[in-house]
Amino acid sequence: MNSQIQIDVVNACLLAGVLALSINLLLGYTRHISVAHAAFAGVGSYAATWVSIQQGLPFLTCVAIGTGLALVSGVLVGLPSLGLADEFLILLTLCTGALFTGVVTSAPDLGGAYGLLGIEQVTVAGSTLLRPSDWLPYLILAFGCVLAICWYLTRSPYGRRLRAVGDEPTAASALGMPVQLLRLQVFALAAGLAGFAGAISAYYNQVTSPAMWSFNQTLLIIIMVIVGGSGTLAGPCLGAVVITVLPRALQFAGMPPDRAGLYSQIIFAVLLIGMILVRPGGLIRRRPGSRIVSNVFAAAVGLSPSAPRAGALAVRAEGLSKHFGGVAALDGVTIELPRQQISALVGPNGAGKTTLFNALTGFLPVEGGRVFIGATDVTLKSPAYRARLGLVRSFQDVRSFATMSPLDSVTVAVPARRGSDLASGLLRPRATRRAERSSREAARYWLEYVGVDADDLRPTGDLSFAEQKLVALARTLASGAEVLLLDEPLSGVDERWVDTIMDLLERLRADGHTICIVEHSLHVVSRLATQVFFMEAGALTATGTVEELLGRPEFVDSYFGAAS
Amino acid sequence: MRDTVGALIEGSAAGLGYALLGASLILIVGTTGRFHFAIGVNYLLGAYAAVAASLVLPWPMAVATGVVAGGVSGALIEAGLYDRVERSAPASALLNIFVVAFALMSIAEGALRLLLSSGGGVRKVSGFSDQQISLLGVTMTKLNLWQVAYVLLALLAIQLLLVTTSAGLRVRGVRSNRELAAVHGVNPRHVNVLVFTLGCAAVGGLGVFAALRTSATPDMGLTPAFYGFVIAFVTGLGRPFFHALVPGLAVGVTERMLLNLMSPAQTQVAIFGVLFLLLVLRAALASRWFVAHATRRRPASRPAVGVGGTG
Repeated sequence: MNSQIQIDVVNACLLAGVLALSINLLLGYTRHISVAHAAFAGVGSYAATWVSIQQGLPFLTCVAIGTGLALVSGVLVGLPSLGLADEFLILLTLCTGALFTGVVTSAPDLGGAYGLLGIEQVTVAGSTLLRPSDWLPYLILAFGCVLAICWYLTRSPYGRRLRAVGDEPTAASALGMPVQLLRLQVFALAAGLAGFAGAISAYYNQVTSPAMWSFNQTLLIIIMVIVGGSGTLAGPCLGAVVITVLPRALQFAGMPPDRAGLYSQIIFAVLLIGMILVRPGGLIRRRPGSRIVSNVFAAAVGLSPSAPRAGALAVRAEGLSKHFGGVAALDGVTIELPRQQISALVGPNGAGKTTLFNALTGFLPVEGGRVFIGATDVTLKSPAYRARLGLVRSFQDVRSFATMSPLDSVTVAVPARRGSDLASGLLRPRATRRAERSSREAARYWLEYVGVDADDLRPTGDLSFAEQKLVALARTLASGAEVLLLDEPLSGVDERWVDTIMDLLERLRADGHTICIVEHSLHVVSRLATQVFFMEAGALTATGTVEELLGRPEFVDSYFGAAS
Repeated sequence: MRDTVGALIEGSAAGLGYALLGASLILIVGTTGRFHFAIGVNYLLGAYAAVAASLVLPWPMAVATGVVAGGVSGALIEAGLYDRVERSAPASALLNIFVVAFALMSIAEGALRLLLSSGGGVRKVSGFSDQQISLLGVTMTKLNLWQVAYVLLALLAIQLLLVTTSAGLRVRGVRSNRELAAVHGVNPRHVNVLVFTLGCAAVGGLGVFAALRTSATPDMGLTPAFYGFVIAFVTGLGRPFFHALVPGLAVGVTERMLLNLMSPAQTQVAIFGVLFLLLVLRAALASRWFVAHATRRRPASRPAVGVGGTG
């Protein structure tokens, strides 16, 4: 085989690798799917080609314009859909892909079905890049840059937040992470990187056409990631090599190009289905529980963790109302949580206790009433905003960051510091390293506080239910919240853990936290709670100490009768 | 004027087809949660099964063959593939099933191109000749009339099955609350297979009508699948499936009217643009910000973004 043909295959692998690495940010980290990935690459490709032909701008400027336009397209497509169900994003990106293909095919200025030809040749230091071997060092450089960007995005503290968002977006939001912003950033970056690959591809191939950026191309990019292994950096690169080499291998074996293409199409699709059924993680799997953030981002010298905050933040609600159909889930509820104490929300199933938690934390919009954290009216604010003010909740069903180790699960909850946003890991590396070290120390402190081994590298999803509850509690505490709403913290926990968790809650109260628990057990409520709120049919019908409520027969009838 | 009425009728016939696609997906996705993009495969297989059957059978029997092929292929995809995909990695089932569906489309298209290599795999249904007929001064084609009858019959049959039979009751039970239905002895996996059979059978029949109109082509499944999904999402997956009639008819009529003003390629772009805007609008209406503000103006009817609990 001609050496230039071999190098051409290597170059194709490098370009495919860039596309695979970029979509892997979505598939492997924030767990989203874009069916418009090839279209974003196409935007970059067409933009660079058109600007080059029409304006005669230099190579790097055209590539930058193509990349920028693809990034902006990513923002425009991601903005309306990333806060919604995954199905919307799939559909919207499908529509984007169809629109892109339709526009470039029907626009005469863009060359129609044949595409655009005549892009300027690239000249570097006086020599024109004509043969694949001329391109090879520059494509390696481009691939290396994209690999470095993806490594930074996924192995920095920012990457750990992406993993948390992918694992459990609701819990991430409850801990104060700006889930939609993170998703939008990554979506736009992935689109931009695809546009970068598309722009370079246009120069390399000296043509861009609708067929190069069709749905089938998107499917191929997805196959590269799923076959290679999503959520790793090596997996998509391996997938890109397999998917790029196979059709050419069939051609070299003597098969006509059209039939080789069809056979490859079928083989790839079958391979994809087989991998999903037999080895869902891909050929190169992410090591479960392995440390996410590279030590490059952690200073060598440890810092002492910040002391637990012991403020006296007030949380109150006035006249909250919410209906589901004809049922009043909240019926004018007014409540103020007693500061630096443990209170309990009790009542029969369906009384509205979890609904009240959802309303207080912003997971459920209310029809009437107001919620205040301190003096701030947060009624229309997001759960993440409320968490950042100091009101954090836990969930009955735990909602672990299942693929992360306990240490990473808790470290990610430490309030945003240097390095946890997109750019500061690059712009402020020393501050990032210090912040990461201190976050890890804080996470260790809280894991120790709840009695979980911080060096346990198993994924949190593999721990026992009680251990997962403790890790969830540690991450809630690590968030720096002063007010904790704990939804049935003892449900599903066996007897030997009940006392452990109750001791822990008492320690937290002693440290100055305000805690409100939803609980059915009288034993737990009477030991922990200094004030009990009784809910029935969406209304707060009684308030007092356990002893006071026990003295009221209607309370005993409606609750302990129902609960027993 | 006569042209406009004719275009309206043509658009309505096409729109009813889109409505049936959307209704089938509301039934399938709303019940099973599967993003069955491979409904394009059922459409495709319905068309090619009819092409094969029409070589030996009269065309109405070819339509029936297409319906059966659509239904059987849908049941096999659910029972043989999606169910296993879900069990192999439940946490990422939605994503994996969508990708598998996409792969199935690719396999079907590639296999048909390889098997029927002459003429790019394009095949016609034999034995049917379309003709113009006049009803009350309005001219329409026989094929459009048959398609309208087929869509209405299919919607009626599915509705009757859901409302009057015990199998329909089980489907409604699973749609309403999957876990509770399972507790009461309903096997959700059987229900999944049933709705796949029903929805895909209806779509298989539509594929036959598309093949009767022009011819069956290996790539004919992609656009209908896409239209069907947009209509299903714009309608709302939790809605009764026949609510898809309104957006379906709207898309069909708009598309036909646009064809009077621009080329087919431009019409396709315009329709995708309209669908894109519809989706953005739907997304905006479902956004947290809008829901939070709208909820304060008037009571919501169902939990929108709440997090479950027993309280």
